[in-house]
Amino acid sequence: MRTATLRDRLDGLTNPLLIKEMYQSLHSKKFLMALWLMLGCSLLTYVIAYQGSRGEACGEGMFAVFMVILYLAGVCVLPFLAFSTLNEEMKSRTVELVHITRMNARKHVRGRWLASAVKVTLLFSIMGPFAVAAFLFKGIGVVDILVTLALIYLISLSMCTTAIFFASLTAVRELRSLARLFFYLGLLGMVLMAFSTLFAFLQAMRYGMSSGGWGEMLLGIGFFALQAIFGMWFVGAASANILTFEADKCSARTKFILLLWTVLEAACLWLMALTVEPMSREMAAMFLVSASWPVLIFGSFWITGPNRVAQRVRKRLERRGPVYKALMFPFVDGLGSSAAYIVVAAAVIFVVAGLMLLSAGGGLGHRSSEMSSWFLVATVAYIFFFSALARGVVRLLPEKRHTAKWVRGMFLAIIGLNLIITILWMVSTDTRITQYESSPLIGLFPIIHMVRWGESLNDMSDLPELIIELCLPALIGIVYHVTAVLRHFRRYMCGVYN
Amino acid sequence: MRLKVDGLTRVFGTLRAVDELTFTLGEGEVWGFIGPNGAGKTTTLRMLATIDEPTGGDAWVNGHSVVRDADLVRPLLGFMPDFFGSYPDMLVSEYLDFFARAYGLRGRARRDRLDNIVDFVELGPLLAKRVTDLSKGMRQRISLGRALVHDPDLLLLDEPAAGLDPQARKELRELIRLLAGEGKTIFISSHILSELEGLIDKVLIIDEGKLLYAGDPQGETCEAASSLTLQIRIVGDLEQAARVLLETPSVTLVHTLEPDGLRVTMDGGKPEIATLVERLVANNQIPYQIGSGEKALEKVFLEMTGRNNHANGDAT
Repeated sequence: MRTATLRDRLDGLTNPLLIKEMYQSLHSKKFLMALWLMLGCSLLTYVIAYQGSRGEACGEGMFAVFMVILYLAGVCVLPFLAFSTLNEEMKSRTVELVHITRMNARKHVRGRWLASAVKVTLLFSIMGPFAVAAFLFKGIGVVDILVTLALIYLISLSMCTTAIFFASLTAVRELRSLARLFFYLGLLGMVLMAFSTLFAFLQAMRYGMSSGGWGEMLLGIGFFALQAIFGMWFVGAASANILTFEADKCSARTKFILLLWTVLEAACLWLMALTVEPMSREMAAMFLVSASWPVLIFGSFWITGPNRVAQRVRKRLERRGPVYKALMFPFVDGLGSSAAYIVVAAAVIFVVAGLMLLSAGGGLGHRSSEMSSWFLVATVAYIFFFSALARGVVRLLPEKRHTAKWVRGMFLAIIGLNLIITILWMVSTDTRITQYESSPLIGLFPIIHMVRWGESLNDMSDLPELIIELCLPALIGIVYHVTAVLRHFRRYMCGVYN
Repeated sequence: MRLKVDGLTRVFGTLRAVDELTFTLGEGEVWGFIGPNGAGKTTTLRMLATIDEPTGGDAWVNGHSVVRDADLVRPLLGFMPDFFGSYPDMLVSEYLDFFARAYGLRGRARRDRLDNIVDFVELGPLLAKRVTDLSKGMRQRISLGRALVHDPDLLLLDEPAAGLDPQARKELRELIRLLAGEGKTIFISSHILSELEGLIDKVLIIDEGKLLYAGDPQGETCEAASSLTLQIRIVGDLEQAARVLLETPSVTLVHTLEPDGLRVTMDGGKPEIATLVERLVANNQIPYQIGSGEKALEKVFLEMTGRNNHANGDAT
C-alpha cells in the first residue's frame, strides 16, 4: 500500500514531457546510434592507447580524445536532437496539443530541459569508466578530470537550453528561417571549437597547477558556472514566453533572479573597483560578456512578449482617446506589458550594463569620457531598436511584413556585431592575442580571425563604426516607430479596433 | 450555459477572419458549425481552445474566460483539431499516457481513465503500435481518445470526419452520439453537411467571419430560409393534387414529377406540412411518400451563404 502511494506521489512529481522524451529516446534510432557510436569510439581509443602505451603514461592524451568524443556527443549531437525534436513538433503543431493541457509554459520548457539533462547524464555515466581508465594510465590528475567533466557538462546543458530556445523561436513565423540558420551556424562553431576548447581547459589547468593560481582559476570556473546557470534560467524563461505567450505567469521568479544577478554582479564590480591593480583582460572579458547578457535577455523577453497581457492592455487602451491610442498601440503590440515597463527595463539595462562597461573599460585603460559617450549612444540605439523590434513581432501584424523582417534581421546582426566589436575593441589594447585563442570565452575560430583583422582597424576613424553600429539601428528604430504609429492611426481610422 | 461567446473577433493584418461572433451553447447540446473553406471556423475553434488569442471579444466556458483564465478553461474542454499531431518513435499506449499525465492525471486514476478511453474508442489492439504507422481512421480515434482523456465537459471537434472512409465516418458518428448521451456539450465544425445531418441539435452558419445563422438545423426558426421544398408521391390524380396544393396558402410553387410525384415549394414548417397532408387526404389524394426536396441543412447553408451557384464546390 505504501509502495503504491509512494509510486503515485513520484508519478505526480515527474514531468510528463520528461517521460515523453524518454519514451521517444528509447525508440529513437538516432539517439541509440549516437550512444553506440560514442561507446564504440571510446572503446577503440582505449584499445589503441593500450596497445601503443608500452608502459608509458598516456592518460592525458587518452582523456583528451575521450573528452572530444564526449564533447561532440554532449555539446553537438544532443543539442541538435533537442532542437530538431521541438522543431519537428512545431512543424507538426503537436506543441499546440500540449499547450491546451494543464502543462504551463514553465513546465513545458522544464520538461524538455530535464530530458536533455537526463540524456547528458546518461552520456557522462557511459564515459565514466573511460575517464577512470585515463586516470589509471597516468599523466592526468583527478581534479583535471573532474573539472573538465563538470565544464563539459555545463556547456552541454547550456547548449541544450539554447537549442530549446532557438527551436521555440521557430514558432514566430518571421524568425523561423533566421532561428534555424543561427542555430546551425552556432552548432557548427561548437563543432569547430571542440579541440580548441578542450585544449584551453587543459592549458588552463596546467597553468593553474604551475603558477599556483588555483584560486583565480576556480573563480573563473565559478563565474562561468554562475553565468551558465543564470543564463539557462533566462533562456528557458524566454523559451516559455515564446511557446505559450504567457510571460506573466513566469515573470515573477525571473524578475527575482534578475535582481539577484544584478546584486551579485554589482558586488563583484564593487570588489573589482576596490582592487588597486588594473583588471586583467580575462576578467574584463567576463564582465563585458556579462554586460551583454541583460540586453540580450531583455531583448528575448521583449520580442517574445506575451500576447495575452497585451490583450488586457489593449482593452484598457480601447477606452482612451484616438491620439493616445494611436501613440500607445505600437508599444503594446508584441511588448507584453505597459510602456512603463519599457522605461524601467531600459533604466536597469542602462545602469547595470553601464557600470560593467565602465568598470571593464577603466581596467583596460580607456578614458572614462570615451566609454560614457560610447555607452550613451549605444543605449539610446538599443532602446529605440528594441522597441521597434517589439512592435515588429506583433501577431496582428501589419500589411508590410518585409519591414518587420528587415528590422529583426538587423537586430540579430547588430547583437552579433556588437559582441564581435566589443571583443575587437577589448583586444586592440594588446597585440598579444595568442592567449585568447585558448580562452573558452572567445574560442570561436571566426572571431579569432576577426580579431586579427581588427588589429588593422585601430587606425581607422571611429565614425564609420559609430554610424554602422549605433546610429543605423537607432535610425531604423525611430523610422519604424513613426511608421507604426501612422499605420495604427490609419487602422484606427478604418475602424479595425472598434 | 456551458459556452458563451461574445463579440469574438480575430484580425490578421486588415483581414477580419472572425468578426464579432456571439452565441451560447447549453449543457448537453450538440452544435454544428458550418461554413465554406476559409470562413473562420478553425480560427474560432482555436480561440475557444485557448491556442490563439482573440483580437477582440471574449468567450467563457462554465464562466471562465478563455482570454483571462485560460488555465482554468483548458481542463474543461477537449479539442480535436483538424490535424493529428503525432510524435515519432512513440507507441499508442505511450502517446495516450503522455497526454493523461499532461492533463494532471496521476497513478491509479490515470490508469483507470486510460482503460476506459481505450475501451470506449476501441484502441485495444493498437496500443503496441507506433502512432505514425496508423491509418487515418485509427488516428482519428486516437485523436478523439486524446481529447477525452481528462473527461472534459465541452468537446470542440474540428472537421472530425475529414478524410475518413464511410465505415470510419459511421463509427465516429456513433461515438459522438454516445458522448452526447453522456451529457457533454459538443461543438463540431465541418463543411461536409451530410456529416452533421441528423447528428446535431443546433447549427451555426458562418461565412467570411460573420455569423449568418444560429438555430435549428431544419431551418424552422430561420426567417431568411423559410422556404421549404418537399417531394410528395401520391395515389390519385396528379393534376388534381397539384390544384389542391396550389390552393393551400403556404404553398408557393408546385411541379409535377411523372409518374406520381410532386415537388412542392412552400413557406413554414411542421404545422404547414400537416395542413397540406390533411388537405390532400380530404380530397382523396393520398400521399404515400413525403421527402425533402433538398437536404434541409444544405438548403439553409446555401441560402445563408448565398452560394447556390457554386454549391458543389464549397459545400457538398
